[in-house]
Amino acid sequence: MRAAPLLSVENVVKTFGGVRALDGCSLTIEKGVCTGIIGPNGSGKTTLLNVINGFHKPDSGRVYLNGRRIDKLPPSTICRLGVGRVFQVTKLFNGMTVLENVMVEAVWMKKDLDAVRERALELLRDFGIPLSLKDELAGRLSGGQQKLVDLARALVADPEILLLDEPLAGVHAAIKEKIMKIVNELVRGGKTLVFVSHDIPSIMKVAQDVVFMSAGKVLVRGRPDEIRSHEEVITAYLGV
Amino acid sequence: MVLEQFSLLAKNWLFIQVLVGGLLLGGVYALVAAGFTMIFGVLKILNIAHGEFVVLGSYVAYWVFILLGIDPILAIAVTLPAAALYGFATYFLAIESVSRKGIEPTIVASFGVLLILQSSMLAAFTGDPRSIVTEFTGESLVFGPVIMPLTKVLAFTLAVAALLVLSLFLNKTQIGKALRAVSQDAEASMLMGIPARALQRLGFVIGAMLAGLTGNVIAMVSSFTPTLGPEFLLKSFVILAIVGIGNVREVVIGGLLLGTVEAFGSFFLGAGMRNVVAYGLLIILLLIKPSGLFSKAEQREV
Repeated sequence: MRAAPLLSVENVVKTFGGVRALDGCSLTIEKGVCTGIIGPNGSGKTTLLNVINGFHKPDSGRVYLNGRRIDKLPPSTICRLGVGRVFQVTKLFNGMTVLENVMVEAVWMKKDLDAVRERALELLRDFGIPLSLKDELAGRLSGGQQKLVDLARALVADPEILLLDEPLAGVHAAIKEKIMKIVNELVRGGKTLVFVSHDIPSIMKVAQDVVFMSAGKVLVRGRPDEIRSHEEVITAYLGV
Repeated sequence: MVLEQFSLLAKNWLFIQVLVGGLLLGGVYALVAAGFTMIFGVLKILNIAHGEFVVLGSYVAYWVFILLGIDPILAIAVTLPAAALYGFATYFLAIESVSRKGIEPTIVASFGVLLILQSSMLAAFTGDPRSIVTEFTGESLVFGPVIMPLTKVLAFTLAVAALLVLSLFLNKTQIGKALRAVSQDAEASMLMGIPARALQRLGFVIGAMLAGLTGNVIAMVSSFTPTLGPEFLLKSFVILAIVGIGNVREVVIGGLLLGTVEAFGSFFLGAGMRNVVAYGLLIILLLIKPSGLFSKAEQREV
C-alpha cells in the first residue's frame, strides 16, 4: 500500500552557468520511508537537496510538501514547514555552546524551552555526547562529536522529513557506526529520511527505497536488491 | 627626551592621568568598532563607509543642538532613528543587491557610499570644524590628582552603557541570539527557521545605529569635520585586528587597549604621533597574529 507522497519533486531543472545540475528531475518521497540517493559525483544529489530545502530556486519544475508548493519559499520557511537538513560539512555555530546550538531553533520559534532542553539533552545522551560537554563551545569538539551534535540539532526540531547529505563522509569508523545506529533507529521509529551517500553498502542496509541519479535525473529507482542487480547501475556506477 | 617623559610620568600621578585619558577614549573606540564588527559579522561585509555613519551622527547631534537647543545627551533620541534611517537607506540602495554578486563588490560599493556621504556633507556643512558647547563643556571631575573632563566621562559612560545593552540584547533576547547564529553561519541559521536575510538587514541597521551613537558621543567631546570618517574606520580596523571577530566583551577590551596605547604613544611621542602609534600597532598585530589576539585557529571552507 502506498500513501500519498510526503514530498514530491516534479520535473525540476536547475542550471549553473551552462551546467544542468538537475535536468528534469522527478522524485516522490513517501512518509515514513528512508529513501537512499546514490549516484556518481556531479549527478545532482546535493543540488536536489538544496532545491528541496530552498537554498536553490529551480529554473523550472515544482516541489510539493504535503501538497503545498514550496519551491518559491525561503529556506527558513521550508524549515518551519518541517524539512530538516544535515550537511556533509558540519555547520555548527562554533562560537555557541553545544546546548545553545541545539536550542537555537527552539529559541527562535519560541517553543517551550524547558521541554526542548530536556529533549535536547536526551538526544545528546543517546548519541553518546558526554553531558559535561553541553556548555563547551561547539567549535572545540572533535569532528566526530560535532557531526553528532549537528544531527541532534536537526532532530530536536522534530522535522517531518530529514535530509542527510553524506553523513558518513570523512568520519572515522566508530562515528560512522554510531550514525548508522542512529539512522536505523530513526527508520524504525518511522521518521521520513532522505539519505544521500556514496557509501553503497550502508545505503543498501538502511534504505527501503533506493534512487539512482545520473546526469541530473533519476535513472533507476527500486528496492535495494533491485538496484543492486540493476544492470545500468552496475555499469554506470558500481563498476563491478 | 623619552627618559625625561618617563620621570615625568612617575611624578604627579601623571601615569594615572594618561591611563584614564586613554581608557575614556577607548570606550568610544569600542563603540564604533562594535558597530563595524556587527556588520562584518552578520554580512561578512567590510563597511568602508562606517566612519561616515559616525560623522553623520555627529552632525545630527550638532544640528539638533543648534536648531532646537536640545542637549546632545537627549539628542540621542533623534540620532538613533536618524542613523537607522541612513543605515537602512545605504543597505537598501547600495549594498543589498550588490552583495548577491559576492563580497568583493560590496567593498567597492561601500567605498562609493563613503565618497558620496563625505562630499555631500562637505557641500552641505562645509569643511569648517564644528563643536557643541554646552554648560558642561569645560567642566571637570577632579579625583585627587586626576582630572577628568566631564564630557569625556559622560561620553565614556554612554558608550559603556550602550555596549552593555548591546551585549544583553545579543545574549539574552530571541532576536539577538538569532543574530549571533546568522553571524556564525547564515546557511545553518536558515535551517533553524531563522530568516537570515531579514536579520542581516537588521544587523546592518544596528551597526549604523551604533556608529551614529558614536558620532553623537564624539560631538560632545571634540570638534569634528566631514572628513573625519576614515579615521574611525581605521580605528575599527585596528580593533578588529586586535580581537578578531568576537563578542562585545572582546571588542571592549580591544577598544580600551587601543585608547590606552594611543594615549601613552602621544604622551611620549607627541599628539601628532597618535595615529602613527595606532596604525603601527595594527601592522605589528597583523604580522604576528593575523587572526586576532583572542582567536582560536580559524578554519575556512574552500
